[in-house]
Formats: sequence, structure tokens, C-alpha cells
Amino acid sequence: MITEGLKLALLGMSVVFIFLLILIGVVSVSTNILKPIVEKEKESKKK
Amino acid sequence: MKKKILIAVFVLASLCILMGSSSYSGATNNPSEATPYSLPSFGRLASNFAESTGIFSLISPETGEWVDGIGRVIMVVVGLVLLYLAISKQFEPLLLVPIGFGAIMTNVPIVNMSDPGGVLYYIYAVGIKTGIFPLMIFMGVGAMTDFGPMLANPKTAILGAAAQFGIFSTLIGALILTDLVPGIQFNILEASSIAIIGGADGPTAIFLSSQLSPHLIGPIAVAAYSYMALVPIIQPPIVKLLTNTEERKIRMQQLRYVGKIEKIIFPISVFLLSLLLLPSAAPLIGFFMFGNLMKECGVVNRLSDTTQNALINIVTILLGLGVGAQLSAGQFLNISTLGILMLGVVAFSIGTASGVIMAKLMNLFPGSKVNPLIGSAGVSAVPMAARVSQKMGMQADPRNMLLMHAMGPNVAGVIGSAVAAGILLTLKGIVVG
Repeated sequence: MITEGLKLALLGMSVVFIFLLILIGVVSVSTNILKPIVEKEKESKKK
Repeated sequence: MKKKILIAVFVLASLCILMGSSSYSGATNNPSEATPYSLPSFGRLASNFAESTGIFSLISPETGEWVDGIGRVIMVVVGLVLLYLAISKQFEPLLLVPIGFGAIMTNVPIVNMSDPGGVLYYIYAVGIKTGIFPLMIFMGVGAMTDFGPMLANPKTAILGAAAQFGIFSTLIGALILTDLVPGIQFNILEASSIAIIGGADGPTAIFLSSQLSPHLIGPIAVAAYSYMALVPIIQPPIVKLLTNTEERKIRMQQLRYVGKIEKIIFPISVFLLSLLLLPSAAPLIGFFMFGNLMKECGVVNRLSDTTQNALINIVTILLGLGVGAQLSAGQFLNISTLGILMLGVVAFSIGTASGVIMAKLMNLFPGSKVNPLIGSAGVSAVPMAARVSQKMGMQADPRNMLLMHAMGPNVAGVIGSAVAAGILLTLKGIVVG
């Protein structure tokens, strides 16, 4: 049973990290793509 | 004159009723003409009434089982303690008040409100067993969450991932307890449900246990919400043990401006990611992100407002009562509950420590430094864990504002615990199916 738990823990932590690392990648890419729009929005808010 | 007529009509009507009732009772006086509505003698009637009181049923339960007698009394006391903690100490009052009152209601003898046919049974069966209420709560939480701090500094999401180690180490802990402690028998599904307490996310814990081991919902929910309320007490000693004053003084760069378009795209991308990588987590992540999209898109303000106020309030009441319904003496008063309560605090502690250690590891790499205090916020418990980071940061340096920085790992922790729940949910198909 404990071995089963260890297997599950290893798989679980790997998937959680992979999921959030991919998410970080997606956020970084979308941030770069959307940068001009966000800058424009920021400028218009300042005005 | 009008008044006199009305009085006359009233007197006539009363006489008619009296005559009718006396003729009826006259008929029942004759035993040969007894109807199913006849009453026994006064002595028997009084004796029946005495036997139908709660006191009699608690002293001498019909089943003869202690859990139906003194067990119910103990559970009523547990319910009262939960009410005390909620009202007097303000520990998660929104949930502990309905849970505490539900616990008292479910232990009322004779009526058995949480048995099939009872009102609490239907609340539980419709909303919790099906997983609907936790998902509705998740939608409301999504509508109240601002992912801005995480989008401004996405690397803090790693801290939210690290804190999930509390879940999986507790899973192993539950299986070790099964091997070592006589009387505790957790199978892998039950161990998974208990482990999710480490995610510090009430709705996720209830959703997962409703799917994997519904009989453990009561103790798991009580442990999850109690420990979430105790975050300000549990976390500081662990964080202090793992950090020094210099580390706690680290100032983090000011967060950048996050555009509206980024906030709109984010929930859609997270949901698409779960759809592609982990469909089992899609119900949790889907409702969470749907709620957030309603908030951020800005075109359905009425829906967003309802979701984060009226709807979540209604569902919270029903969820609390439904969970309270699971706190019957028979289900709660056993050695497994003690094991669950113990494992819960271990899960919280390991999750907190993992987040802090990960923050310290991140500081070994070049780039902007991370204050390890925000690592402890990786254990969901929004926004309590982030507030603890802020408070501890200010104790080390009164001008160090960490709240917004801590919100990053805090909301990432919610996604992380939903992902962990999704992984554990896949067991349902493997083990049962």
C-alpha cells in the first residue's frame, strides 16, 4: 500500500508541477504578445 | 348592528363545530366502533409521549447502540463547540455556523433528519453527493478571485505547486497509519480524500471526498475548515523555523500593471489547458475559471454579482447544513476521525513548509529575489495564508508590503490543489472500475 502511495505521490507532484510550469509558459507568452495592447491600455488609464 | 350579526354568525359556527366534534368523539367511545383515529387511555398516551421525548431516546436508544444514545449527546456538544468557535472566535463562521447547526440537527433522536426521507438527507443527496454545491462555491470563489498578482509575477505559481506536496505526503502518511495503527483502515481512495485536506481548499476537499469516499465527508470537511481557520496559528511557527530574519526582510519588486485582456484570456487558457492535460480536473477548474471569466470580461456584471454574492451565500448555507448532516455519531465517533484530524494538521504543516523551502530554493538562482514568507501562501486558504505572509513580513520590516506578492502563490495554490484533486479523481476509474 505504501508503495502505491509513493507511486501516486510521484505522479501527482510531477503533474502538478508540469501543469503549473506550462501555465507559467502560457502566461509569459501571452504577456509578450499582448504587451502593446496592455501598454496602450495603461497609457489611456494614465490620461 | 353589523357587529352583532357577525358575533351571532361566529357563535353559530362555533356551536356547529362543537356539536360535530362531540358526535365524533361519541362514536369513538364505543370500542366496537373504534376508528384508526381513536386514542389509547391517558396513562398509555402519557407513556407513549414520554418514550417519544429526546431525553428518553438518548438514555435508552431503540437500537441499544451507544452511538444512538450518549454518542448523539457527544455530537451535539461537538456541534456546539463548532458554533462557539464560529461565533466567539470567528473561525470560518460562514461555514462553521451551518456545519455546527447541521451537526446538532442530524443528531436529534427519533426524527433522523439525515436518513432517507429527512430534509438534511435530501440537501446532502442533491448537492453534495452529486458534487454540485462544491462546484457552485468554486464558481463563486472564481468570481471573487483576482489573478492579477500571479499574472504580474507568474514564477510565484511554482510556490503554489510546491505547497501541494502536503497533499501527497499525507496520502503516504494515511497509508502508513493504516499499516501501523490497529483500528485505522484507510484504502487508497480514503487516503486520497484525507490527503486533499493539505490543499487547504474546502470545496475541493468536499468535492473529492464526495466522489471517492462519501462516508468520510463529515470529518474531512470539519478538519479542512477548522485547519483553514487555524492558518494564523499553524503557519507562523513553521515559517519562523525555516527562515531567518534577513530572509523575512527581503523586499520584492513592485508588481507590473496587468491589462484587462490578459485577465480575460487567463481563465480561458487555464481551462483549455485542463481540458487537454487533465480532464478529470475540468469540473473544478472549469467552474473556477468560469466564475473568474464572468468577473473579468465585464459584460455580465449582473451574473458576476449574483455568483459572488447571492448564489455563493445560498449554496454556502446548504453546503454547510449538508456537511453537518454527515456528522452523525455513528459516522464521526471512531478512531478513523482521530486519524483524519491528525493527518489534516500534518498535511497543512508539510504544505506550508514545502512552499517556504521552494521559495528559498528559487533564491539560489539568479534573478529577482523571492521573500520565503510568500511560499507559505501556496497552500490555497485564500486570502488567510496571504495575510499571514503579510503580517509576518511586517513584523520583520514594518514597511515591507507582501500581501499582493503572496496573492500570486495563494491563487496558484487553488489551481494546484484542483489539479491534485484531478489526479486523485482518476483513481476512481482505476480502483473501482
